[in-house]
Amino acid sequence: MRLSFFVNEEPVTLDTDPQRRLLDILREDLGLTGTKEGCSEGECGACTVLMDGLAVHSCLTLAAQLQGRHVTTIEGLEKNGELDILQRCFVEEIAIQCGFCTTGMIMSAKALLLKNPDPSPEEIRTALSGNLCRCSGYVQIVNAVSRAAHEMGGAQ
Amino acid sequence: MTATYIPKTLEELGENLTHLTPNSLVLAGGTDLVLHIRAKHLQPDVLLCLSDVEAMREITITPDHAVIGAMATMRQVEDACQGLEDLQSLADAAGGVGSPQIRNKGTIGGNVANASAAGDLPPVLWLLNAQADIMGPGGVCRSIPVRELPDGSQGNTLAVGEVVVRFTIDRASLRGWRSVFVKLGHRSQVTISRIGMSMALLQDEAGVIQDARVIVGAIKPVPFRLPAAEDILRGNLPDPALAPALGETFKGNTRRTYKEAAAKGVFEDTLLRFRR
Amino acid sequence: MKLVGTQQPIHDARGKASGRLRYACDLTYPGMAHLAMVFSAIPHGYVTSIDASEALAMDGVYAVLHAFNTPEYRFNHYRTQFQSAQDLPLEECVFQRYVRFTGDRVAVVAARDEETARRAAALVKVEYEKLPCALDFDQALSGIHCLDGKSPIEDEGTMTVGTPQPDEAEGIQITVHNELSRLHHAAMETHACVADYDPDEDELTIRSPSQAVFGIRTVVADMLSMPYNRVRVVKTTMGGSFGGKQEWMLEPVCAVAAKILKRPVKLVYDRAETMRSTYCRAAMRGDLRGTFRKDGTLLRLDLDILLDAGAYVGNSLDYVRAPFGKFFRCYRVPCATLHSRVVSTNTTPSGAFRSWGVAEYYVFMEHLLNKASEVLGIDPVELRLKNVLLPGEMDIKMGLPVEEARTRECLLQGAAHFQWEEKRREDARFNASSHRYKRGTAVACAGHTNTYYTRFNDFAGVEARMCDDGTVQANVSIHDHGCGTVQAFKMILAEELELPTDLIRMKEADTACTPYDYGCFSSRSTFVVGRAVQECGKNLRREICRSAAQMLHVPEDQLYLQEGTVRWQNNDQVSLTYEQVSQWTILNLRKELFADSRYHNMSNPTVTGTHFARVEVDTWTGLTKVLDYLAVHDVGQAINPAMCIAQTQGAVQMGCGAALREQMTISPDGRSVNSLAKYHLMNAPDLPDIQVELIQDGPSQEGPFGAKSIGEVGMAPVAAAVAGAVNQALDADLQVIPMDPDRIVEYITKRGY
Repeated sequence: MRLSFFVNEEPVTLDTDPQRRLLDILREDLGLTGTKEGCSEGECGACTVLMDGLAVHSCLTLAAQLQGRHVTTIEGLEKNGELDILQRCFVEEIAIQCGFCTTGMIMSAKALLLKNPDPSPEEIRTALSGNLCRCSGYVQIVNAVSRAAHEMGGAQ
Repeated sequence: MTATYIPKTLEELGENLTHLTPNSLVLAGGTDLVLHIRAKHLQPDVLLCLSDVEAMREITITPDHAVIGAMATMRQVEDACQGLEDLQSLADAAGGVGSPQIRNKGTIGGNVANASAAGDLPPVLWLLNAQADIMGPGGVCRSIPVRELPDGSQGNTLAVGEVVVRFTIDRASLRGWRSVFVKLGHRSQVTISRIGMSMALLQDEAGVIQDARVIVGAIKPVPFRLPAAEDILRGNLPDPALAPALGETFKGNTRRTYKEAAAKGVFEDTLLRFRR
Repeated sequence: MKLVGTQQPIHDARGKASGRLRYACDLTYPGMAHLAMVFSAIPHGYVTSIDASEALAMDGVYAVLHAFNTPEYRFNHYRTQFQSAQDLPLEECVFQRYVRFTGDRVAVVAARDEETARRAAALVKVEYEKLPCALDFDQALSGIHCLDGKSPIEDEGTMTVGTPQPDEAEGIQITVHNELSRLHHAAMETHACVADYDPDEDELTIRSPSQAVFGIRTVVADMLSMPYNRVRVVKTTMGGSFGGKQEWMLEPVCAVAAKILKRPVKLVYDRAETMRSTYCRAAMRGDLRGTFRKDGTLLRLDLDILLDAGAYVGNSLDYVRAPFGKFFRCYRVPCATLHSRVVSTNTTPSGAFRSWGVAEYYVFMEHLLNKASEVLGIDPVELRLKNVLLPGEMDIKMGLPVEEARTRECLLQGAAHFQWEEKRREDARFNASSHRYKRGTAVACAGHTNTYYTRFNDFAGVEARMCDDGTVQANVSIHDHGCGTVQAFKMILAEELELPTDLIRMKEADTACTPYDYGCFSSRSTFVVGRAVQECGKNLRREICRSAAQMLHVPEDQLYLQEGTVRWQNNDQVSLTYEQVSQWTILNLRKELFADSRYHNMSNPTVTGTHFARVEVDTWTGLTKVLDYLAVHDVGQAINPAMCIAQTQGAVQMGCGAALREQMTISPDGRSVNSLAKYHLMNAPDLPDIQVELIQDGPSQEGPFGAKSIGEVGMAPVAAAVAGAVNQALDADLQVIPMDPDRIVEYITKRGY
């Protein structure tokens, strides 16, 4: 099929197998390796990207479902060489260890803050319930998201 | 070589359905199907993708009806039904499927058509007497109770070339009822159901249960009704103290001693939801 | 100290946050072939034929390699050192003809892309001659799977430490039994490896996330009969390991494929393959008998352990023995024996796992102490206070002083901050009035090591050179798990050199350029390699001052470093930048500013952690919530406290999973669980706000700035604490870990209340 969609606001057109996973299109066809494959079955969240503003597993999304959609990956958060607030808070709050869960975690957090600019710690944990981290106890990750929300003006 | 159809309207869908064979696949949200495709390295002759049929995502809720497109995501179903006392069980079930990522893509139609024993939407749709509108090749439609969709062995009774297009719930017949869904899994969030408890109660002003409906999923290959539990509930307040007696009604319904014992916990949690 | 002890992000945080940083799975090279494995479909038997014709006929498939078309390459996946240091049998082949578990390697497909390789792998037809298999302890002991009258006991041994006390016969004997399940490391990065072979130079390059690049080199070079200096092994950024990437599954396959195909190759195991076809933490069961005086002090321990090595013995002989020694690093144990047996089964092999058996053995130990606490009528914290080693005492197994042990302080501080007594009283009141939920609070201690010594002579070497602009390049064999080793070492070096960390370049282990190193095990990185980094820093500082002294014509001992400059104590106007000193040295002394260090330690102070856990058990559904958790650790000096805390919280997450739900079960036909949908980790909603406190007034003598270790000891007390809390909540003596909902409900149902 001829797929035309948007990745990080750039139009992308590809001839591809309609069953090709979005994860493979991103990583192999577009060279955007920031999105990771951790389990191939929608359990770990490492492959999380935004599709039309909502967090989805790119390992469970097929090309046939992408026509005209807007996909945002971790690479799309940085603007003019500056890390986005969430990325910076993850760095500064020591929310990154091995880093393999990080990009998926940040995308889920991004989706949360787009809908809920002032989440409680419980709401953050629920929003990240589909993102597994084996290195941490999630404490710094929750702190980083809270702090990002605050810096983005969410908290009153 | 797979032919791919991505219809945008119900008319196009009707036409596309004429091309399906037993070797074809229908792609709704993909959260179940993609795993299946990859595990078996499937190469269907036709892949019919429902993602672009906007009409199948619509949710219309009026005082008398709830019409939910089969391609409505779990998240959309949860948002639409949250706080509506008769439809709360739908919000509960949809809001508990998988993780946020799964809920953003998994669809109510996919969950029902997949007919997994542990599926959370079927028991609730049965509870609410939902109808499934089915479209076949050429756009021919028929409507059956959702109860009649599963084939009893974790498959569905849809013919080749048929898809569920929407679910309708007659809210008028549910007036005064409150419904709730509680799930017991392996952990508190992001888990397959081990017991899927859907309960609807009709209570008088004093809160006494006039009528009850209890449908349980994840126990047998298809959800089943528990008249014994309904009998216990009628005439009582939704008192958590009833939980042990209600739990006993699982005996003989499951070989899993764990589920038999855990049932009273699920019943108590469900009754606590009904307390005002 | 300006840097050591401050909070710093991991060195590559930016690259991880931006998504640009590349792990092994992200690497691509021109002409690279993607590999996909064919694994054994049966648990035990012989491969009688392989028909790869359909696979080879697929467009884009380059080759299918297996036992019938490649030389027999034998190796031992546990090897990390040369044979004279590690006497290990050549237990397995790259491609097995004799398969010993479902998931054993049979063949590999090389193709243009991963999708094609995997599709082709599914088309390879393998025929087997089946043999009887053993899938659990009882089947294993029956010997049903043993060939040629071989014993099912792979190894049996008895070890005795210490001497019986005169009053041993009057002691009170208490015994506990425990059974622990297999665990999956569940690092978020699955196993991956990229290899390339240059046929003109006869050079092999392997890139993978590993804990021992020199170990891989030894194994692969020996296997392929190549000189070691033509096998280059580079450690890629590791997405977690927890012991799962210190034994070799992918590297031998990639090495063979690269050599035969003469093109770069990449092999990435997906989660299912990592779970089933690498290795897991061993299942074990056993009994621990403790002999106590009436006052609660320990007279003697007798431990009997049966361990399941899985399909290959691998590290099991060492794994069953090493943790026994860790009892003597936390507690005063006058006399103890270990009787151990290792059996093999036709299941995923067991291997290294965070803490190397110490977390498991402390489940037994803390269970024993909790039972003793009840029998003797002594509070659990009090009982431990009576038995923990104090500063100045000896680890009688290693024969080394424990040095500045702070276990006692961990217990006291932890009990106070966790409000131990109040919580226990509250739990009792709560339980009395709750028909369904029961709460329990427990404590657990554990001790661990900081180095290979005394098992091996431990050492590390480091080099550092200054560029002509005053910045520094250091050469250290680091195997960072993603736990912050590089950053910690940068901080140590920067501290010595009065430089900001970003003016120091420090990469990870690469056999082509970094010094020989055993690898990242035994929690030796900070204590041994970190100390070598510090010494190198001191040496480079001396070199800088030596040059500067000549430049300034002043005695060297009157110079000091401050913020990237050399200063003279007699005149604070005198200041030389490192750039100036470096360039002068090159021009006038005909050399660059360079220093190296060789550090070997002769001590191994104890390092302990004391954990407090409070749980709430739903006796109706069997689900357990972890309400509250505090870990107190005696670390000497935390180089980067924030990372120590984050890492310890991760250990708590892992140990809670081990105690409450993680288990790799085996199906009746021999397939281990291979999906995270069935193997449940603790996710964000499952965990409380885990508290960690570091006690830093008990420095080690040899660690950099007095540091000890944290990575493994953080894990050691967790499952013990959580299991203890569940037993406390239920007033029970549950023995099987994990205490999952099914087991708890079964127990409650049998008990009747």
